[in-house]
Amino acid sequence: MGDTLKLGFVLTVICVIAAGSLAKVYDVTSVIIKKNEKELDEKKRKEIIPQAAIFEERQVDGKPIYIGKDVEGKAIGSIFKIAPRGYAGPINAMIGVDNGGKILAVSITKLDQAETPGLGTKVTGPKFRDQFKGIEGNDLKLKKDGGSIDAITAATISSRAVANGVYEGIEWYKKAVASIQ
Amino acid sequence: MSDEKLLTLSSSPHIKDGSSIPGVMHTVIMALLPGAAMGVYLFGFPALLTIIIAIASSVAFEAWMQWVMGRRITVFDGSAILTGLLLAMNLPSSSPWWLTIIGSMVAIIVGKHLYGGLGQNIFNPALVARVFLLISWPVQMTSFPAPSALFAKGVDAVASATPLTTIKMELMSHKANIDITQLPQPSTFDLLLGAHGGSLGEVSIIALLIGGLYLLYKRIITWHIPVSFIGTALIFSAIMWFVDPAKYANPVFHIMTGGLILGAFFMATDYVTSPVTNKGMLIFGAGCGFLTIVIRLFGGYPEGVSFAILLMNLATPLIDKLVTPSKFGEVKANG
Amino acid sequence: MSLWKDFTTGIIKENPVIVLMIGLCPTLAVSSSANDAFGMGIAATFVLIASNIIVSMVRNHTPDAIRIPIFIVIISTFVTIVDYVIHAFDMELYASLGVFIPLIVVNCIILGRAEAYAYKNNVISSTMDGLGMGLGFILIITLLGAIREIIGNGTVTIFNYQLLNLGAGYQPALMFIMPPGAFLTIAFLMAAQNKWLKK
Repeated sequence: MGDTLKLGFVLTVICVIAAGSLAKVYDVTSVIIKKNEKELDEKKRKEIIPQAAIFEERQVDGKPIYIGKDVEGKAIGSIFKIAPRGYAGPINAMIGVDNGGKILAVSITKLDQAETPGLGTKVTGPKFRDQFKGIEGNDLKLKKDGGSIDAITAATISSRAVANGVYEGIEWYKKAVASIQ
Repeated sequence: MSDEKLLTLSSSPHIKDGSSIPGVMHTVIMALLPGAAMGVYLFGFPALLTIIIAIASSVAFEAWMQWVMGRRITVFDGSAILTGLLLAMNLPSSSPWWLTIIGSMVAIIVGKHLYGGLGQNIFNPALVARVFLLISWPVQMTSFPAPSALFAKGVDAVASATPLTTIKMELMSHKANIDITQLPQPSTFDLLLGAHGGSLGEVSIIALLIGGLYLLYKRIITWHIPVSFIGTALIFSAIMWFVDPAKYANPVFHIMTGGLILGAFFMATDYVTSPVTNKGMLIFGAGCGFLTIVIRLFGGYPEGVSFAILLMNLATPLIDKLVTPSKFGEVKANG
Repeated sequence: MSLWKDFTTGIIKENPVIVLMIGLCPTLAVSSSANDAFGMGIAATFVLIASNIIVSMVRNHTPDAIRIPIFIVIISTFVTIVDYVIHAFDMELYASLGVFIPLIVVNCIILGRAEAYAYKNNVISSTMDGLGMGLGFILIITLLGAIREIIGNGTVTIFNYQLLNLGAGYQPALMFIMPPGAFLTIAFLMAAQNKWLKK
């Protein structure tokens, strides 16, 4: 019995020391982590609408929309998220549009998807993403489906997922914006 | 393949006949020729070139590897030629030369000699190479030129999806109402003859069946693996077809597309990598057929024959153990 | 001299990965690029050295019956610290190492060295042992990552410096940056080790 108590005591001491040091490290790093994550999100948005000075978050239709405003506080565009189903799970992308609903940029980072390395991951490349800039309507679909987007060779499924996701995202945005104005 | 060694591992009855490694190999190569010839006829000169490169490089790697490892050089026993030919038949006719050569390298070096050479390999070497290439260079391995009856010049370079890929694309599009019966597909007659996209040696069902029947007639293979392979695939795909014909293709279509016939007669039946007893062969074939359809219907790849055979190759020692015939006079322990 | 031996055995003669064959899981899982592999190597080495030091320090107060739970508490504390630190200072590395950082806890090299070495030796020897084993681990995992990245992607990149690029004409063999490529490459590394080092 005494032995068990001793073992328990030693283990408790070790655990308390471990927990204490972890708490200290957490205190220091959690601040930096939060700051970094915020900056990273902000940086991503800045890349989509570089002219914007600040972004204002607004909930529309249950989803967040970030409205980019220039230094004078005038809205110059919005950013919203889509997550179409790709070959291997959702492809998380962000779409930036100007006030007229025209696409400024489609952003998909390597960390936002799990497509096949070397194939489906090419949807994250500028060569594929930049095709969406400035076009609208049915043009947003793949050439095979009657649009104007070139699919990535041997990665039709990922390409189609993004194209259809953007198409549906824009449709949703137009409706959502119309409903709040 | 049956070896000249004193201890031959095979199922009873142990009757000696005149068969030898070169004899068996040459018969199998003969049986493959109709399928290969149809491939050349349909896809033209590039197909012929792919076959020649695959065979020549396989033989060269075999000789080199046997020399490096200090083994007896037996390149003319036909086994390297057969591996090369089988590999070529599993490639698109448009394969670039380097792809074919890397395929031979993987088949002969990784698939065969690193396991100890002829008779020691766990997996079918040609299939190891095919899967290696398919995963490594999916763009080249899935761009199939449309077949054309014209020889040499004027071969249509337009890529055409295989019938199975067409279906997989539709299923993976995540649309609300999927109906694969509406997709444009080659007629049953074209499937039989081979006039559709696919690997150069897998398209012509008739030519492959002729070769397969020749192998059965020559008693190089027994009926067990092909029948249980094709039969299981047929039954399982039929069940799924009854469940939902808009999502699962009909069983006849499944049998006649992809590499199922080529695999069932020529690759699953490889002596080294399949079980030795008849009962074992039936289990092996059934496993191949079941896995093929599972991968085709529920997997990420449109075609599953190669993966199915490789997986069952892996299970072969277990199957052999499971169905070991009891020794004469042995009493099975209870419980 | 013996300290020097403690240090060098881990690098080649008793290399944890290709000779002792422990810690294979992270080696295979996080070696799809030289950069990730190197990051994993550094992270695991830090945990290894730190846990070796602490285990060696408390070894005289550690009752035999509960040594394993104590090792694990020590190791997991350091792993969590590494997890926080990487998250705070290198988001990109954090994202690509992902779930594998917490899994350093179960890296056999670390628990193995705690049990087999640090529990029985003094602090300085244990530090050297951790350093040597860690370097051996970094060496192999980075080599594996570099080979896989060259063949599977045509490049070698460490910390955003591109050391090698085979150019646009090279057709990368994608299998090498996928799991089967890891198994194949480590098999060849072990074969080479068997041929050239075991004599």
